Amino acid sequence: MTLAVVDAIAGPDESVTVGMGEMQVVKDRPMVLTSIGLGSCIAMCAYDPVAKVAGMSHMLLPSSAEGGDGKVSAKHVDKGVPLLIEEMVKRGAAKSRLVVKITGGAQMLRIPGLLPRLNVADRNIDAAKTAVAKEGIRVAAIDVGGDSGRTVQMFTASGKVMVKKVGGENVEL
Amino acid sequence: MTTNKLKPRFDATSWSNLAQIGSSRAISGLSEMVNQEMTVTAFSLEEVSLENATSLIGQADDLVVGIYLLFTGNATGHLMLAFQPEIAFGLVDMAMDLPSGSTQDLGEMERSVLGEMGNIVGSFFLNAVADGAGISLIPSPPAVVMDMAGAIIGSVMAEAWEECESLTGIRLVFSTPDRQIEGRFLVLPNFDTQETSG
Repeated sequence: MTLAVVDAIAGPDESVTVGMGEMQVVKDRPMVLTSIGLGSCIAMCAYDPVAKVAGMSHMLLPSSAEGGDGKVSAKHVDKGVPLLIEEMVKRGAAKSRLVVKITGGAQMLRIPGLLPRLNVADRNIDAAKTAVAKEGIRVAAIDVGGDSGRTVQMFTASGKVMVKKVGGENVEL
Repeated sequence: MTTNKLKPRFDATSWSNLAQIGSSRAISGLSEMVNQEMTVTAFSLEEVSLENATSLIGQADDLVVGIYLLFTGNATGHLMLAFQPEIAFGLVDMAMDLPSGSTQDLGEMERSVLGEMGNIVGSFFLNAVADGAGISLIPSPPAVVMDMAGAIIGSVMAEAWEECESLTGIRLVFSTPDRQIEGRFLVLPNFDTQETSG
């Protein structure tokens, strides 16, 4: 899993894909950050409208205590949330100004007669809410759960976040 | 990763052979189910890390039909059959003896048919692997999902992360008398497929 705490390098309004376990932080650059096909994964989008710092993190598992390799990465929600905030603050964002939006956490694989074994989707949602609250930040918008995958786009010039499900409309979060 | 002291080990060649036999048996089972002659025309096996799994079934935003099941027994793991939607629809048409092109979406009936297909294909595959390895593998009922490849694979990976280190991707092309069909088996076994047994 790539730890991609990088300033996105792209032209104006260029789209950059944020893959599983990756994050992107952008300062004052008009771009589109995209996480394609979120299933049980969680995407957190954060934006400081004053400093014009935007970030997106695409996280796979709730806790670094499970399946962790000891490295701090965006793969786990409990580490990925503070890491994204930390990288944004390094680039001039203020925690108090961050507008945080969360999406993902769909339960895609429901086996008839069996409870979800690890229930990763619900645990990812809980972990994201907990981690954001721990940072003292209120979640501004949330679209989580269900059983459909999502693609999320974040427009870094405005902080606007759009979420689309298969066969659904592109909806602003 | 969880370490299971009892987990079986196969060398890569043995695993490849077992997977090939399993795939061939699975297509035999499918052939019986849809009552059509089917021949495997191409088989290839690729071992990939979980991080690179999505590429096995397409681009992250490609629409894919996945039939997913767990297996338990002497070893545990995850199995997924993945088809492009039009292929899955075609298989439903065959199974229900409908004219080609009749199925255009997945309703309750179509999901049930694909689930039964997953039962048969999964059982034939796992039985062949289990017989060859002298172990017991028991499949769960299947889950049928049609969604973005990235969302499906990401969810499988999240479920498998703690116990499986790699994923075996099997590309299988098989043909009926009038068409070629391509599908993928994704096998996430909690057994070692790299080290020599013994």
